[in-house]
Amino acid sequence: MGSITHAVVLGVAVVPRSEAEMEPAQIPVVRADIPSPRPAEEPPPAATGTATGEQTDTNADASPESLPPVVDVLLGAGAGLFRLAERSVHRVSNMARPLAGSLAAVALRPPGLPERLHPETQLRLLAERGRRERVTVEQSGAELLRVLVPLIVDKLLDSIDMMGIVRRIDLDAAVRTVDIDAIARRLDLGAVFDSAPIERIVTRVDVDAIAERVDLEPIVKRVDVDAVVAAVDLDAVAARLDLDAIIARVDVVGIAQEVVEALDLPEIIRRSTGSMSSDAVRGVRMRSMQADESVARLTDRLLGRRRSNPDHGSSPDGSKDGLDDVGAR
Amino acid sequence: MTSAHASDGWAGGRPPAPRALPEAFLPYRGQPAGVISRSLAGGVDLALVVTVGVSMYLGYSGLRFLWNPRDFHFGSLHWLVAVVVEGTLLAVYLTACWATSGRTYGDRVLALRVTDANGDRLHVVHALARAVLCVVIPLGLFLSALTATKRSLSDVLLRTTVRYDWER
Repeated sequence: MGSITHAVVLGVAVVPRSEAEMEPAQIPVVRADIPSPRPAEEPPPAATGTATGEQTDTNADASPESLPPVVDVLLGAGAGLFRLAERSVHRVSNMARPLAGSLAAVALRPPGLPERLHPETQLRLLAERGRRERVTVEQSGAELLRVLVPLIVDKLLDSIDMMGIVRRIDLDAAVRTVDIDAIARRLDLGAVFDSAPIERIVTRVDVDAIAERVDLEPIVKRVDVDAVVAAVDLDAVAARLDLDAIIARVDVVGIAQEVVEALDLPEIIRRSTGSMSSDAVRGVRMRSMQADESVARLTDRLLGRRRSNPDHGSSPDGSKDGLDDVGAR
Repeated sequence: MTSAHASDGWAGGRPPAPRALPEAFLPYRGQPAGVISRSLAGGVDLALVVTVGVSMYLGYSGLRFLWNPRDFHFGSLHWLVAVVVEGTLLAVYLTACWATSGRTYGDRVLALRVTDANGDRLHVVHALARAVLCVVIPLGLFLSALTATKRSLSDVLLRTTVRYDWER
């Protein structure tokens, strides 16, 4: 284990020992030193090469912070050389541009040769052929992409946990960033309602079914009828009523006649007045008759007459009373 | 009889059932009326006639007012004239009532009827004589309180009788 040597080339840690000499747990690991995403809940690995604690220091040496600047040195040197060459070429080209233009014109259209043999003509033909090939390749590529892209996208979508992505999105925060008021202000609701087939929608709505499903009892219980009535200005309502028109439309005379006919008011009046008068007259008659009897007794007593029991139905003078006959008349 | 009843317009062609007389009246039925009942009946008739006389006077004054409103004033009426007029009205009223139905309005209220000695309705002359006698000598009514047969002066002189007759 102690003979393990490490080499770091271009940020790649290589364990050059043969795998046959190692235990399965010690198989060298070639890893790109690029931070790979790992689940947050997993603890950071203690060792990337082996499971032993001796390799902890080695792995610490392979971290990005501890890489030697060899790559940077090489890249910096290459970049400096490139810039130097670029500046040199630029200067040379600036100096040679007038001369090169004349030489190029002579070279492309050499005098004494027919035009079809000019290099310029040949270059033009080559450019045209290249353009055709390019177009053909583009078309073929587009066709190939049209076939491949759906397949690739399907495979990608199948491999992606879309719901997991959605769950990781903070939809509340996203919604908070939306200015719904501004959207509402920009909406032309009038045009929306004008274009909507309201009548067709209303005709398809089963209002009866909705009404049957509505439980009105708790709603009615929650209504403060007293407050509603208190808020109603009955005086204003009464002032707006045209009672004359209402009364004019009511057949008061007909109703009164029906009530009178139902009550048989004349019969009631006749009975009441008749009974009252008959009772009063009966009282007067009987009291006067009793008074007559009392006066007669008093007179008889004063005059010393013997009073015989009256023979009802016969006259005082003994003759048969003709009252019944009179009454009959 | 059935056809006669039907012609009278009785419901069902049958006469109405007579109303029963009060139980308390039966002992007095057909008996001569006493002075109290007669006096009350006379008072009712006198009030009625006086009311008619006053109404006639007011009507006459109203006509005079309509005829000449500017010079209108209630005319003075001598008491003797008034008594004579009222007495005449009373005599005519009594005569008409006794000669037709045998009872005045006062008699109707007090359940009395005036008949002759046979219980028949008075002749118009008989009734007129009794009416004049009652108007001229009203105090003759109180003789009925003294006589055993409860006859007033006019009954004694003209052989008439006033009896209880509850109208049915």
